Amino acid sequence: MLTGKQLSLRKRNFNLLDRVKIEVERGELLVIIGPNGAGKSTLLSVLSNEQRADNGEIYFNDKKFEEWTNSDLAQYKAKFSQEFNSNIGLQTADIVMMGRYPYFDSKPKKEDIEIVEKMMKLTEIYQFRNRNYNQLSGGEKQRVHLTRVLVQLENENSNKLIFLDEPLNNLDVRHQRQILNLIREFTENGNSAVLVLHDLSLAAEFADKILLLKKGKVVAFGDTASIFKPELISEAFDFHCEIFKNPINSQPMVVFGEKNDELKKLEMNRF
Amino acid sequence: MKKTNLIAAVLTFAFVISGCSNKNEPADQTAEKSQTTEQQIVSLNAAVTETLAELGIDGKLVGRDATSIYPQWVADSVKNFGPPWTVGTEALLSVKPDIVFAVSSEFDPEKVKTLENAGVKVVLFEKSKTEDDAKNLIATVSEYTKNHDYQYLIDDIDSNLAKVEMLKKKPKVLFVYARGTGLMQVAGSGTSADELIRLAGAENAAADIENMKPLTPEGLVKSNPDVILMFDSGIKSLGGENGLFEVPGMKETNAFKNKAVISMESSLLSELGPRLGQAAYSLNQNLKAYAE
Amino acid sequence: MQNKLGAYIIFGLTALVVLGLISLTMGVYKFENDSFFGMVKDGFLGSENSDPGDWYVFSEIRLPRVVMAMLIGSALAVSGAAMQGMFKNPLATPSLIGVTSGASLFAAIAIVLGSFIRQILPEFLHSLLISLMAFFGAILTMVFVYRMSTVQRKTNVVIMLLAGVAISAMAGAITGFLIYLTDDEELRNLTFWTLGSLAGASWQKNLILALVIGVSYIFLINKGKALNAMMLGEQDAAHLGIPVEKVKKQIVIFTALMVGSCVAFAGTIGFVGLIVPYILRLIFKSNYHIILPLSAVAGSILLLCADTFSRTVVAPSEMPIGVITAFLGAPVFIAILIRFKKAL
Repeated sequence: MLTGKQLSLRKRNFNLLDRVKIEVERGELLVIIGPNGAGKSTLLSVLSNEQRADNGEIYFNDKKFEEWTNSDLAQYKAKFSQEFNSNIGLQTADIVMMGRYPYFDSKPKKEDIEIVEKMMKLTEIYQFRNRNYNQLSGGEKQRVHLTRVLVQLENENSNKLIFLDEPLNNLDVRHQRQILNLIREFTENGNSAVLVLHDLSLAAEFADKILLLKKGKVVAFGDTASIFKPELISEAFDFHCEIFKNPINSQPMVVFGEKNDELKKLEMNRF
Repeated sequence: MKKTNLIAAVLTFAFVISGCSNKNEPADQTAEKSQTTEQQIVSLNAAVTETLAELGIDGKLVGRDATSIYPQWVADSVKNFGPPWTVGTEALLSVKPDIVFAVSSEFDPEKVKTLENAGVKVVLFEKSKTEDDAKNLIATVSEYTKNHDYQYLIDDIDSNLAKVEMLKKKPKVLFVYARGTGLMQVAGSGTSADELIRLAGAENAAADIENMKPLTPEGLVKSNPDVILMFDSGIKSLGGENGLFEVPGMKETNAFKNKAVISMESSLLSELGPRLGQAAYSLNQNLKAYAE
Repeated sequence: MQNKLGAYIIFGLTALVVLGLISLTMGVYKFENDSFFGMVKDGFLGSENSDPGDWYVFSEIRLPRVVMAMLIGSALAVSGAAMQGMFKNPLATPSLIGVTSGASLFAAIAIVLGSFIRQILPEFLHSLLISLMAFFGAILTMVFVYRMSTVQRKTNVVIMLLAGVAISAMAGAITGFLIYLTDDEELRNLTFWTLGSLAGASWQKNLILALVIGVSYIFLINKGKALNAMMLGEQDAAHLGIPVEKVKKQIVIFTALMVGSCVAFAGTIGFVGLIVPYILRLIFKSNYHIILPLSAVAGSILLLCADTFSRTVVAPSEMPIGVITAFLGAPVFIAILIRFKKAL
């Protein structure tokens, strides 16, 4: 559904992206992980058509982005960005409604209103709907934008793609999982999602595929079992780690720390 | 209330449309009116006003500008439209003038067109800056006055100028225009003040610059005037002679040393008209004290 | 909120018409006919009772002036709102990107050159020259600023703002130099130009203004949705399907066109683009879908009132309209700054 080949981007003498190859299938939830400065946000930006790579090609549903019309693309692709504007003089509901702009000219239709209401309830921001956006907390504002992005892709189309750049920062545990579950549901309906996450354990729990990025290069790409190997992760993050089996969901659980003999005595299973 | 609004709105819309087509209609009807009643005159120039008053106004003076303050009855009883370049056409038309006198550089050509379309005759003058300008102005204005015999005015100027005494040591005179210390200018060559100073037998301290230019301390020191010449109102705006002498650069000048300041009525100085001769002579006599 | 937009517009237009009619009855000139509507009716129908002087003043001086005040007020307010949406900053106005300065500079050059050309050209061409130069200056500035700030088909807003500041500084320096060179009569013309005046209103000018504004509004008034989306950020707006670059280009071109025409015909009238959107934002929040069309109406009302005031308060003289808008605008400016400071 989304393929990127030989994607390179250079700024001054620095390789932000170095011949990145990436593939996202229909119904897949792909998570990009890597240390700071790996180029994760840049990659997401290039994949979502926010900026152009110097080299390489991207195909979204077998078409290059130039072959899509603006209006079509807006009903198939949406992106949540880390840096959102925290000063907007509007009410919360108005901002979420902007996610429906690809669907109405000047007045929202009944369907748009219903979708916005439904989604606001799912992300638990319905109670702020008439409050001034500027008065919300950082985490609440974040959820407003997440809701907006989700609302944008509520339609009858299939093969939609959602990009989320660190959507979980500033959110508490419950809301983090709420969002991730909504995304999982999205992919289970025949759509795809590409996320950048910092929390490796959450990544492991929810991802179908993982792309490990370091210094603009793809270090590894595959399913969680093949990626979550201690040597691979330690090397990439430049920090010693051990990987255990999470007792609750049996997914890999990454624990960073100094090398320690006490670990041998632990009763936890390795992943 | 709403219904009247609606009717009014529709009417106004209709007027707008009609207004577009009517604009080429000349207002012939107004011309008829003026022949039966007294001519109404507006003068927006001090020299013109003085000449009109002297030679007899053929009709009634119904408006003047802020500089036209001589003779006294004009200042007291004629409607003042303010500074000449701010007068609006509607304001002018409100006094139903038949003829308007103005200075071309102070009167928007658009306004001229609007007035002429309304049937008003507009007579434009160049600003009067030299003796010849003044005499020509008098001659032109005389065509519109009761008394067309203007020669005596010219003679008066000439005889007064003849009375001007030669000053042994030609003093250097600097004309300073001031509206408070923030706005101060000096009169260079090509100005009416320059002409008057020359006619009074003196020398313009600022002859090396052209027109009105901002006053600078270096300029003051360089020109080193013997006498400062100003409007009455100008000196007042500086807080009197003391205020004048506080201006940077003043203390280096001969004028300061001799406390030589002459002030004159603004209409005499800014616009050269019928009283040009008197002004030159009066200045000349005042300068005698500083010319020894 | 969106549903009530129609109602607000109708309310605003009604207020505008009423105020316009009231303004038409006010002025220095006193009509012969006791009844205002009687005078208008007689004049319109061309009846014998009609005093030609009355009708001339009404139809050739007062009415065009009232209409021009409405047109220019509307154009300046919409230009301001559109710019503020584009820059996401309530202080963004046409003066900020240098369009007003550029237009005024070229007008100043025309006025100063005019004294030399006056002998050669007939009078009416002289005033036309000033207007054309102002128009030319606005477009030239706009093109220059746009070229400076467009990198790889994308507009860098910071560079655009700085280019505007640079142009204003340059224009100010050159105009100051010109003021120094001229003798005092032209100085007065120039000063009056920089303060703005609607005294030269005519039907020809109004027709041109109406055309320019009409065309510009077709492109600008419906940009409310795009500007709202741009508040999220230009990238996010693009994801929503808004053609951000095209929108910005259109805003730049049409506001320059409108501002250029306004400066050409009425000199520099500032602050309208600052005051109107600010007040509307206090009531309707930053919803450009509502603010853009309402600015068009509110701007008309504001300038109409300001102009009526300017030509009646010190009658028979006229207070320059730029002074009145500055009086109204400076407190708004300060209020915005205080808000910014509180938000920090």
